Amino acid sequence: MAASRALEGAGAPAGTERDGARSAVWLESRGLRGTAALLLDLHTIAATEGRTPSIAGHRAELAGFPILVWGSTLVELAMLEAGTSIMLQDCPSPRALLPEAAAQAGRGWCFQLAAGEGRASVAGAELYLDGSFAELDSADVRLVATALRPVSGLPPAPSRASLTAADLEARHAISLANGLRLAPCDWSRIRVAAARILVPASERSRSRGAGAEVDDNE
Amino acid sequence: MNGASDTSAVLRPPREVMRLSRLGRFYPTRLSFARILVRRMARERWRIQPAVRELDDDGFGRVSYHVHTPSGVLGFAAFSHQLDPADRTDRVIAERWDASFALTVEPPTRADLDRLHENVPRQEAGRCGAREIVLSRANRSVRLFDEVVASLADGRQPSLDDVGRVGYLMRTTAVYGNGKFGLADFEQVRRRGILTLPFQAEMLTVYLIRHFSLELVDHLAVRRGGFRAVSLDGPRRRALGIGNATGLGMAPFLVSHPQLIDRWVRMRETALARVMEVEQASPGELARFRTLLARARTHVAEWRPQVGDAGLARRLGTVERRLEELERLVAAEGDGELLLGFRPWTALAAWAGDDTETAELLNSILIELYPERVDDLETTAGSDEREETDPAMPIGALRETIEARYGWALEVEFDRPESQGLFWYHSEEKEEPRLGFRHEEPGAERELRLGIARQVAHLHRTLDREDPARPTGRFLRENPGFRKIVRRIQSLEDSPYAEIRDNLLDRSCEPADLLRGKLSMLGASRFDPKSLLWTRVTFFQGAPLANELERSDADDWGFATTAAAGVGTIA
Repeated sequence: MAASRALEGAGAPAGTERDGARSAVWLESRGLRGTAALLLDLHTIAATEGRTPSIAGHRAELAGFPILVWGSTLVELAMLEAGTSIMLQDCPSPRALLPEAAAQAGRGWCFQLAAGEGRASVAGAELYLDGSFAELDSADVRLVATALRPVSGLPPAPSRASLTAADLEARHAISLANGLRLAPCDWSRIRVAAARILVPASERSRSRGAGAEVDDNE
Repeated sequence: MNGASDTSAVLRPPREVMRLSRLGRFYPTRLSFARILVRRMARERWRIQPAVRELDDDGFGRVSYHVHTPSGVLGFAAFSHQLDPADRTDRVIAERWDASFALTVEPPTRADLDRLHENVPRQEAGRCGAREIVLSRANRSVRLFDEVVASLADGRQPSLDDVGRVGYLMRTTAVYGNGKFGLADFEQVRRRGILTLPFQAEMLTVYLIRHFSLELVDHLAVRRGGFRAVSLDGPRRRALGIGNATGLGMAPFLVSHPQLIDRWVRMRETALARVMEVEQASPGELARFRTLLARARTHVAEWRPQVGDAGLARRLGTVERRLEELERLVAAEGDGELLLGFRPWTALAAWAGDDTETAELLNSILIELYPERVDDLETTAGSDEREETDPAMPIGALRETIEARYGWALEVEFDRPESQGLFWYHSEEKEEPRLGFRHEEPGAERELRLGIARQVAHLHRTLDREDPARPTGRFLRENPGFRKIVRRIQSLEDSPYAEIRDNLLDRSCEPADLLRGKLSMLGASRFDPKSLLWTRVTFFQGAPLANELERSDADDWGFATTAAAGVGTIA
């Protein structure tokens, strides 16, 4: 909720704030630095407000764009160009593409992402993640979507796969049990952004809130 | 019996059901969440065991319970505080309360209880975590609490009429769950297998607050009256539920969770459709109908809105008169043929006609009448609420979808200033949801996105300029601001009851209708609107007490009445 409001407060277009928030929580609850990606998005949304990434052919220029916010659009772009490699140039936080890819994979898609030496594959409920992919803060990413009809299984796992869907689910279960703990300064930045959707109170607004009109001592 | 989604019964069309003027006439049914919870508690023989009781002579201190279920043990902690009457307010912006509560994933240890004691009374300002499921607070009823304690301390039972008139000893002003303020996420709660359906955790908390409030008045009576004191008797205990003050926060929920709303309404409508299929009512069913009808009439007679809106008082007067008339029509010794023919309940619906207040009350009675036809639906109340965009859908197909399913939105004349006269927002004060007048107050640029009709109309106009063959995904890439409404439209294809088919921005919109619609699905009764912006209601009035869950009639508490409680039946 706070992440969604923060993205909305920062100026994310309607609907992208929820996608972005869900992706941030997905990453953070699986130990993939979702909060850091969220804070980066909060910083870059204002700078790119009103602009959309430049996309020509199969190439998108993403330098300075908030990727949690645009992740669903980019994954959908790959789905529309199924089987074709899409180049995402200067993609901040490449791992921010994983949550939306995982969601679409559950609906019968396969995604392969490559950035430098890092690799990620997502299909159905399976996921292989080379550790270096999750660590990248910015990279050129090749993204390929393939429709799995009928489900034909997962492409070969990257040879140096360091994380699987089971590993991430185990991390997620621990996060659910213990809750997510954010550094106070990070939490403060999120709260500040979220507060931008609030309307200052006034005597008139107070009188239009619930329970303003009658004696409560009854 | 078919599930909610595959019934062959004919459901009422969404254009008839999903109007504010209909939702605002809903009554709780046996499929409301409070009823489902109590039925489950009874079926699974849940036990509420006292664990800690540290209350002083004024009833201040702390209490904890263990809730034993077949799937595990939950904990509940209650903290009772001194409160200056000047600080007592039902508003969300309050900062102090008579009592505060937490439902916990496990029974709290002493250390847990100390930690909770530090934080739970502070509510939003305290620190709760993934071990806490629900956070709540309540105020004592000034009309009743002290009077009940004084009577019991003096060795007398309080007036049953007063007990029934107020209906509760404590009134909650917020019941938070599902991850709010750092509480356990619903997914975590669901995975534990105890509270798997929406709002079960919140309803259980309210039930436990009722249990606590009844124990508290007994405790105070003994401390004040000593040997003279008596315990509140069973009929009066049952006649007391828990009050709840609810404001505009319900409205954003109803718009933001369309798939859940669809499940809830579809569950109710499927139940009703199944009942309408009954071809002939048996003598036993007719007798039971007469019993429920009489109880419902008394329930309405005892429902006395304190401040109220004049419209509700007038409608209840009409209901009372019509139910009297109906009782005569269907009397066992009478010669009325209303219910003796083919499809009797369809005939009853025709008799109710356009009087929606009476019609919806009768619908609740009918659902009550056939547990064997409807109770299996209670498992269909949940939804994973997965919304997804279909980027490949051609824009032409999206336009056709809008025209087929959102005609009601396209009919709104948004160039009339009144059609956008209101805006909904969160105030800086405790993020309280409020309603403003767009053309008279600042803040509209930060409004909540609850104007579904306006968003649909704007999208439809914009799509007019697009190539119908173009994939929606490409349109969204260039117009990201439409992602929310496009995804909503595409995701609700199979959710016919998801949308409230009214313009919530119109100056004439009455939020009280939204509140009643949702509260009835939770199981609240005795709606007592204090304005068009907020209402008081009662939960669990007439419900079996914790030590009565194994009674054979533990599920028979719909349309609770003081009169019924007074003669010792559950409701």
